[in-house]
Amino acid sequence: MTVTTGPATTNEATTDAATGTRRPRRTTRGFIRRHWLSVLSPLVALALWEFASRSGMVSPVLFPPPSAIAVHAVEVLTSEPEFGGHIWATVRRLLLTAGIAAVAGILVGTLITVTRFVGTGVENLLAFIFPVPSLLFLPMITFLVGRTETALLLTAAVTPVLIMVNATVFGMRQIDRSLVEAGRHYGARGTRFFSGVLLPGAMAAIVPGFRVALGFSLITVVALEMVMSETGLGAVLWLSWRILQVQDMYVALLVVAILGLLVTRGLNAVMDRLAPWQATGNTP
Amino acid sequence: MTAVRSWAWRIGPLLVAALVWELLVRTGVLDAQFFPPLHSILQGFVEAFTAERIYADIAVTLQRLGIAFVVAALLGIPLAIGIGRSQVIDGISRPFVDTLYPVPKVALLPMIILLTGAGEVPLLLVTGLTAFLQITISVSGAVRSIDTTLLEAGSNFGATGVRHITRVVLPALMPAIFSALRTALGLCLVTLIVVEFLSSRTGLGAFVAISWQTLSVNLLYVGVLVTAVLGHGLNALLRIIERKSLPWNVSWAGAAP
Amino acid sequence: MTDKTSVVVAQVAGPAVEKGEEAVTTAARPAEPRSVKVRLEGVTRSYPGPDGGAVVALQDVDLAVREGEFVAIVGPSGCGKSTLLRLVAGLQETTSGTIDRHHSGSARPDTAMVFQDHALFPWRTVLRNVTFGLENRGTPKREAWEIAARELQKLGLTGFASAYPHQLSGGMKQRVGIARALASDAEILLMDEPLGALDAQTRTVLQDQILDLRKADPSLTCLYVTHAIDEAVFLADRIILMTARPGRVKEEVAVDLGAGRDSSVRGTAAFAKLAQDIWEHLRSEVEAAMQQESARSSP
Repeated sequence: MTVTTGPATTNEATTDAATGTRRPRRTTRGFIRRHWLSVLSPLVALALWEFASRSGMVSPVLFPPPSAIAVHAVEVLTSEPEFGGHIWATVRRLLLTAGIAAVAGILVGTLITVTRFVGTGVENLLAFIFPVPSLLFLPMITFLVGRTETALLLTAAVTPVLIMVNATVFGMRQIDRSLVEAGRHYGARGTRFFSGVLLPGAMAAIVPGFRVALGFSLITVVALEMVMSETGLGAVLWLSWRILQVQDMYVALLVVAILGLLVTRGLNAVMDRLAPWQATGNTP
Repeated sequence: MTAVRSWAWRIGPLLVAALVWELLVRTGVLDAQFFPPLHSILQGFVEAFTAERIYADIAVTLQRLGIAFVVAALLGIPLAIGIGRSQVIDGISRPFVDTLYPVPKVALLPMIILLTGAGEVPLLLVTGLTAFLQITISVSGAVRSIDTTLLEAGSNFGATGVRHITRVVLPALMPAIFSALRTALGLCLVTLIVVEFLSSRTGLGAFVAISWQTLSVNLLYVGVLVTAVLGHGLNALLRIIERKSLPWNVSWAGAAP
Repeated sequence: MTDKTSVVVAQVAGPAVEKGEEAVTTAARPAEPRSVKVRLEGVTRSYPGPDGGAVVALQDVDLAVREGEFVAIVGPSGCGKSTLLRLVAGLQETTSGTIDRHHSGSARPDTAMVFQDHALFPWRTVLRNVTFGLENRGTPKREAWEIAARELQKLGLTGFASAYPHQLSGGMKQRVGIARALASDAEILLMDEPLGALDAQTRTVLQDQILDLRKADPSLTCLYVTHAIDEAVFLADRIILMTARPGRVKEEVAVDLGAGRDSSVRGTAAFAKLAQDIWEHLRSEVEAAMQQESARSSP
């Protein structure tokens, strides 16, 4: 879709007009001219690493030069289907965890909002366990469902679900009273009230909440893979470190970093789609 | 009166949950071997706190958290102000901050252990990095959204140079800094517990991991509950400090005009 | 932040500048020549626009304000009124043209600004907001407190010295903003729609209060930006009408309602006539500004 560049450009232009400093140009050249420091500084860092490793200032076994890692990454990603399987395992877990979080979180959040008394109780109970890292629920969950994939997913979902509950409750409570009254006045009841007023009204809080939840899902999925799985990027990180397959470790780390970037950056686009009335744009 | 009520609302649900737990265990829905009845968990508390083992673990966790968090704040806040006010600092540090921020810090643990060797340092680095990035990102965002007329008023009434930072920028940032610190502290605790669980023999995270491995089920639940209480306690502590040091902040004073 | 001093192109002693005066102030009252507090010559300010071009906010503005004069600037929204004030305050730099500020050589600052949304520091009490400028100038604490107390008393805020801004109503906050500006005893007082955010009744009260301040200190020099014509007529000696963007001086109108005017002047026929005349002059500019506005918001 080429349409997306339109609003993005105007957005940037107005910001610049307001600050009165930079001139907007959406070309690669313009980007480099404006952000040359941001292009240069990581290159310098990589070059230093390359030099340190090649000259033996740091151990080339533990810290292979970036160029070697890049070559290895291409090799692994193109010729080892097993590695692709690990990536897919992590992505699949990430999506499932996020899915559980979204469905359960919005459901529980809605129930908390509409049932006053019990709702507040449940809300406070969830608030109590919120600071506990998901990982600590692993033992309890394995007692229930064994050391299974289900245990991994349920454990990873704990904090994300709580985040989605919070976001939903917050979003629904901050809907303008007059909108709620207007919805009732025009006859929205039951599920129609939920899908017509509550959910869209709370979307502005739910979508950013989902982004946070997704970030937490990635953290816990990777940590759980380190603890209890033979598949996934977390497992690769942990096992390749144990047997000093250092290059594999770096490639896994690289992929995890890219996943992290996608989770935060990619979601901005989704966010603009799902709640277009909440113009997020490029946060200045 | 309202204080009593708000505490009742906080404690009440926990009691109800405990009751439900007991009921499920007694009726056999939950296996008592893994989900011990309440008195047995309470016994675990007594056991843990009289044997003094848990004190050491709590102390270790708090110490790691303290070091990592304070260093992160002392480095993160100045860097954030630099990023918010200087295009050069912004340009140089942005790629690193933006790339590292979304990476699960736990994933960096193996690499950092390679770098520094096993022991305390990797735990502190992973935990501190979490807090540092969180503080840097939130506070630098806040620097850019300081009300420009406040900055103008500062310059117009003669606060320039260092004074501009100490008398206008920093005070204007304080609420955002505190909110960033609270978020960062929460994240910091989570990360620390997780890395302790993964790769340490001491600390609360390790306490839970070891209790699990040895199937000391009572102690396992004690560890989880203590973690929750610790998280709330630290958060409350920061809130109290915030309230005391920012008496002007509207969010405490209630009804704003 | 722009450095304040960098905008001061030259410091001009008062009586030395007589020529060119006539060209600028066609309708100025024929008073005895008092020292010029600020003089703008050919001031233009532009900034980079959306499509790489330049948006001109102000163009070729000439203006001089003398000691004891109260000059109001009136114009449609977006005509650069606020920009003009920020240029005079040194908060922004001119693209071309010069701004000469009178400088008596003492510690008096050149300008003190009253902001539309008061811009009080929320972390400082009322008293310490008022002393802020004095503190930065190194005024001894005791003296600063005395000055602040005096200004607070003038504005009827004596009991609120230790309150925080969020505890005050909008009108009180703006009175603190005015007290802060008065306390710094600047050569020229700059007011940027100071009453723009207030309700009609509070506004009327504050207008009366500003008029009282003028009477109490005949040497008070003020450049006052507003979009309310009645406010300008009520307060000012001279009104500068601005065009829609790019803002230029369209006309100058002398207000001859007498220096001793008071609240009752609002009901007089002369007041109504003047306000009506100014509106006739301004109407076309306001319409032009609205067209610009809609042109900008439609794709």
